[in-house]
Amino acid sequence: MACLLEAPLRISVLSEVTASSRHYVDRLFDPDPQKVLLGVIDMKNAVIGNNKQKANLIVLGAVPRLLYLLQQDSSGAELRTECAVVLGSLAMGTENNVKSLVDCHIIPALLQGLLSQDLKFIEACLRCLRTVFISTVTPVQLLYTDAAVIPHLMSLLSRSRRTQEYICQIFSHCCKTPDHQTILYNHGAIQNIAHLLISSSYKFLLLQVQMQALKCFSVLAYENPQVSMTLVNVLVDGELLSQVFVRMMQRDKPIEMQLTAAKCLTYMCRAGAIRTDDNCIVLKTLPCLVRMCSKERLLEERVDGAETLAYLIEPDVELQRIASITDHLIAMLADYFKYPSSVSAITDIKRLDHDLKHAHELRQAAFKLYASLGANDEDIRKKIIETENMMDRIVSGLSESSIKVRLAAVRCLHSLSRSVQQLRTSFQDHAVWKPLMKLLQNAPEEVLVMASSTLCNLLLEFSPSKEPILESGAIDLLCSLTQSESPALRVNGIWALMNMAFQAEQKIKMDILRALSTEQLFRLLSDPDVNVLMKTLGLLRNLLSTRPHIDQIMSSHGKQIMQAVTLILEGEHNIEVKEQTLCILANIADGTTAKDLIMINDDILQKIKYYMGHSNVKLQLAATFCISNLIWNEEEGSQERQDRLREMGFVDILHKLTQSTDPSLCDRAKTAMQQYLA
Amino acid sequence: MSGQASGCGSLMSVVVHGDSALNEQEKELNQRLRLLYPAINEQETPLPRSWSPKDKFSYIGLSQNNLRVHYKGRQRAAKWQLAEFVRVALKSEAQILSTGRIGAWKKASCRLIDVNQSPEDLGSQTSFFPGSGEGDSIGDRAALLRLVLLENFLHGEQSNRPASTLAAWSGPKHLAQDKCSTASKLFTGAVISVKESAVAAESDGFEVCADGRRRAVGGAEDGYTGAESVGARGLLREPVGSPYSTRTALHTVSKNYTKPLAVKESHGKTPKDAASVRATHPIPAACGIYYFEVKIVSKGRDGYMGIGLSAQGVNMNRLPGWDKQSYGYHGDDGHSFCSSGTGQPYGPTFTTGDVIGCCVNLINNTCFYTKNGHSLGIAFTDLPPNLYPTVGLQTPGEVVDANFGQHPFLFDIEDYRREWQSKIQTQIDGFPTGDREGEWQMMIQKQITKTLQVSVTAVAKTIKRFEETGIHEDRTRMVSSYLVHHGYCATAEAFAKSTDQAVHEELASIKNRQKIQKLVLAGRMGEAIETTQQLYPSLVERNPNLLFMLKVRQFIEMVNGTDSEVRCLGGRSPKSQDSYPGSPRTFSSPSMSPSHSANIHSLTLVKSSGSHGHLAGFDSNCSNGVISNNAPNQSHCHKHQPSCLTTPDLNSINNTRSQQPNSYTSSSNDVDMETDRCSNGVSELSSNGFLNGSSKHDHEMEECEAEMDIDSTQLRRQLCGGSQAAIERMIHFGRELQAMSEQLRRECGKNSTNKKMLKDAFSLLAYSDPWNSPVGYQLDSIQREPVCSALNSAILETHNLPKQPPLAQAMGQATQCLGLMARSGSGSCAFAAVEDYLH
Repeated sequence: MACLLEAPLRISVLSEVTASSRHYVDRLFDPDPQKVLLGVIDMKNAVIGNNKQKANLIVLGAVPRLLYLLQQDSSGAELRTECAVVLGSLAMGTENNVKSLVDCHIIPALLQGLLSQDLKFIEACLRCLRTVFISTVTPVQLLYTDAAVIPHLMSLLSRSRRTQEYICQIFSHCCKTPDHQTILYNHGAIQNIAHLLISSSYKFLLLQVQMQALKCFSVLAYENPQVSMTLVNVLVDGELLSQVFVRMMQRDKPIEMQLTAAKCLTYMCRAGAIRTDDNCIVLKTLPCLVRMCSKERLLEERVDGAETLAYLIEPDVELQRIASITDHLIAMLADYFKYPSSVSAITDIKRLDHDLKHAHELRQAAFKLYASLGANDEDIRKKIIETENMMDRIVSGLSESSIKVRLAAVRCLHSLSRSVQQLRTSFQDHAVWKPLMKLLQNAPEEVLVMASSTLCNLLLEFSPSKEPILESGAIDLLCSLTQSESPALRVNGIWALMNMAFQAEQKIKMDILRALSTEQLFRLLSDPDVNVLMKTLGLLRNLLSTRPHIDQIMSSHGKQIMQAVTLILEGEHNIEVKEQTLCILANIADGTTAKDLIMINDDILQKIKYYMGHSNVKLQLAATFCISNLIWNEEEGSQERQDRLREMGFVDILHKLTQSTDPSLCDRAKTAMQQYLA
Repeated sequence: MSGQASGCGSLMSVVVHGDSALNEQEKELNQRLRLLYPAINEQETPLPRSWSPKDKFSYIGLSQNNLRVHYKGRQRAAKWQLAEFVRVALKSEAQILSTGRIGAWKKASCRLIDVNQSPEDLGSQTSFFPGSGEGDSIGDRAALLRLVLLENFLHGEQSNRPASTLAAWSGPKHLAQDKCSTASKLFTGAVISVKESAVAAESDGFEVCADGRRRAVGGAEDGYTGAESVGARGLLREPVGSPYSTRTALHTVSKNYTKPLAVKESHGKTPKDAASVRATHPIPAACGIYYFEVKIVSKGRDGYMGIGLSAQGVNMNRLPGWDKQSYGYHGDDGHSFCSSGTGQPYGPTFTTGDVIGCCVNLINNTCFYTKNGHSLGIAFTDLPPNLYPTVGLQTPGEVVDANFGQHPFLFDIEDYRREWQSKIQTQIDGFPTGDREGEWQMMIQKQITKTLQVSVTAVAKTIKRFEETGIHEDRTRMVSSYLVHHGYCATAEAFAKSTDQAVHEELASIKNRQKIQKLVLAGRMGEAIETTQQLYPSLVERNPNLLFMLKVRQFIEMVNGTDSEVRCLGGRSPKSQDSYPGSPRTFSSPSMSPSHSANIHSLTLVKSSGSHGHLAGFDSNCSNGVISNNAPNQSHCHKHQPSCLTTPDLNSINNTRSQQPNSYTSSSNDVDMETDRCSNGVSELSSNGFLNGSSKHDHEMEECEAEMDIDSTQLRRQLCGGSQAAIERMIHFGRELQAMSEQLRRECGKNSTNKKMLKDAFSLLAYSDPWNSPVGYQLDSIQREPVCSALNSAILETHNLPKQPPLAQAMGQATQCLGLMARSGSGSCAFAAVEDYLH
């Protein structure tokens, strides 16, 4: 490994440099506290902005000593403060620096330091903690290990502007899970932080505090209905918090503030605390987020803006429609794919680097937003597809190295695949099934969920992609999905199979049955996820469609199928499941030889009878349908079946049903009765 | 303010209606416009407040204070439309009969009844033409009939709607029957002959129709022409005996005729039916960001509505966007039309109930639209200046309402304005001003008192702006010359030292000028003239007009009783005269430049006077000679007219006066009372003020004022302080003046200014109470200012120094620049006000 080879070289260089640094460390051990203080101050001045020096001091073991000094009460306030400052400075360096600091248990030491009475020392500790927690390498959990820490931090919020800024910043970086949100919420974070959004006159500091408080709220409210509902009702200086956020979105406010305020409102809206047709969403948040996507904004802001907007409009078609017409958003997003631009490559390396770094992020953000925009409205989908090179971009996005981009591209494709017209045209023209199938081979689960769900749409009967997908071995793939741990994947797998079986030829149906195996089929019929069950029944129904198919399948699998049907009809299932099952029975009754499987099964017939008298019209209808198929004239043995069923009292029930108030049920019963009369 | 009253002609018409609700609306409008466009001077550039009844095509009807626009189409030709309808209907009938398609005939009549709503519905539809009331029932009918016909065409049925069917359909309804019979009586001749000719023309007409249709494939315009020719030909067969078959009528009708046909041929596109109306005024550039909204009350038949902008002189028989210098967003297809007949895909379509906004950004000359409060993105760039809000309609029933600020806008335009305001402010603040700026600003901070610093930094900012507009000068020199000019000699010295700038005038000279200025402002003209002659012997000789002016002023001061000569006679000690309340005005610049915006200065300055630090700072700066002499009075003046501290501008004082009439009266009273009763207010005031320093002033002064106000009502001011000797002296002086005037005329020729000046001065004697006479203004101490500044400038000129301090010039120029920007269409001036930088 390269690292090993270089080691001797590194040591020699190190020894040279460390010689000058050792002096600083040595002074930390001076018996005279005054000299130690001077040494620490010198060290502070030496490390500012000097990453190499920072690394050297860490290697030379300055950290444990500094921590020791920091923790000793005997050190004196000034020395302890300076120690915290130096540690903070060290944390500002590279990720490795932060790692070594965390390894030296800097966090508990600093948290301990917060208990001091000296404000300056507290501020220095907080500043250092802030710097450590901002880094991605620090385990966030460390903040929550001691339950007393959060309340203490809350109490420190009132100490000074600086403590407010640092604490808010720590919170916003350390609130990553719903648990964290709850902890902070339970300790009164909202009330404590809300008033920081306004008040006071120190303009510069205030802005910092405001920003950090705002960020805090955005992480607290994210997907958290409890926090969001509370936020909506919070009054700050007699003003609703949402109105404060709206004011922060004014166009002359700093961009970061506008964006973060928009995020807060978005999260509150998605958590159900604000209605999607509220003016502060429709007329303020949405336009603000669209503005963030404009070319004038920084790349990071554009990414953030597009992602937040995608999240905001995802569930609401009206918001999607408004966004689609606002400021040419759809065309604006096309720009997201133009990084790194050809100009930046030539003109300066720095910009190229910057562009490259954000190119993936930009693309995935754009895909996400396109996906949300086109989720429900056909006209918008059309507009998206008509954007320059859109399909090409999606297709190449599907095979990008970055998982984020791939996922977003599939999401986008999934949204667009809901359009019948697009399935028939542009999807076919660009052979999107190819990269999609490729993506389905050993992709991470989240990608797989999206891709398989897109595949469902592509397998719809009218989709021209159906054939080539089948040929590329989709059946096995989908069957393997049905065995997945994830319910979402199981649903998608069986759903796709269901779509595939719809009005398919005999061969495909047999292939499906063979690949899936009856054992798996029945396992799916007892799946805990009701969606899986529904789709499996749907698959069975589709398999049992035309008469020859019914007879053939029933001849080979009749016994198991009848068993399964009985089981479901007896089980505790909802109406839809039962209806679907009765429909399967009706299909079976439509077969020539398959009919007998029902006729010889008294149990099933009794069940049908029961459901004909059920209170639910849908079930009555399905059961009647089944009987009607059994007694249909012009078919072999219809007479015997009619007689047998008459014996069982079906005619009386049918007669009763002709009096039904439901017109379709009434019709159905009358048609069935006619079979007897003829 | 006077600006409002004259700024809105349309306002008057509203008031005439006497509707208080409308008055409220006008108030709201004024308020909103003032808020949105603070930089607009409505006397110069009025804002659009309604549609213009003059600048519209005849098809357009206006109502509701010229805010509602509806499409009324051709009205004069209504009778001919009926004739046309009958003609076409008969032709169709004839055609059907001739082809023997009776079945089709019946079917058509059935369909007619199916397709169209009940006559009542149609009636209500026609009532969209508010122009056609009861008196215009024929027009009404014609419109209705045409509507039916058009509808028929729209539904794709080409020809088979027989008139008789229509008659049968409308027969039972009172609505149409008698009107129809009247019409048929009226047009009997025409109808019959049409009937005759129609049968004959039938085959021919259809050939042409087919021709028209064929052409329509090539292009709508062509198709249209083709169709027109059909009409024309058909018309030629009109009876000669018809009273309407004159040449002009023929022309009108031929146009008319084509309409339904053209509709048929080009699928409802009849560009010649388009009609526009524009607002009363173009959008002034100084708006910066301009916005108006249009609500679609009804999309009418087809919703061919265009909303946009057009320059003066654009054809109003078109929709906005089709022609050069015309821009529009059309409702039927959502396209934007940028001076072209073909639109670009732009936004969504719009229809009944939608509110479309149009925002013109005069800073970068772009335009974007909004729909129901949502911005649709930039539609046009590189817009020319002076565009009018314009709306165009094309089909019957289209009605739209404009909102030029009468109501709150759906779109948050203020937020958009804020964005641009901050953009421009950042641009100005970030404008590079060179290395030395920081340096001298720091110096000033250290060495000059707070008051002065305020003014200097303010002016420095102005210079910055001034530079931005392209003129560069050495700022440092400007500041120092400004100080010198106004006689802040101590500060100037300090400043000069700190910036290594040589002061271009000797300090002695500055002090001399100060002395003279002080005399003039104290009304002691005689002494002033004397001193001037002493110090600058050649000045008055070379400048007889100046001397004349000074003398006239002296005469006025005599009337006033303040001139030294009269005072001596009145037995007053000259000492007491020192406390002339206006004396601190020495600081006011002699600048006569009218370009200085008086308004602006007084506003900011009144604001700055609020702080106590200001006062204190001023006192500590007493080393500036002039000020120290009159500490108490100066603070008095300070209180009322703080402008004299920071603005070198005369106008500002004038303005302050108008704002605070009380303060003014009191100061003129001061003058008066000095001569009469020493024991009164003034002396008390001066001693008080002196002893107590500045801190107590506010309070003391108010008391004094109140006292003096009472005095003025009790005491009649007397000519020349009431002394008989003084009056005699004055009359004698007046004669000398007359002689001098005559001499001057002999030597230098006629001078109307001088003549008027003298006449006005002498007129004072014609009144028993000159102070309250129409010419009494001359007695105002403020009138000393122009004299003083003229004298100061003249002295400076003899020393080859600029008449105006460059700093003041710079500020004036900056203000002028903004005005120029406004006139030349540069919108950023809306967000760059000089006063923003004067504190």
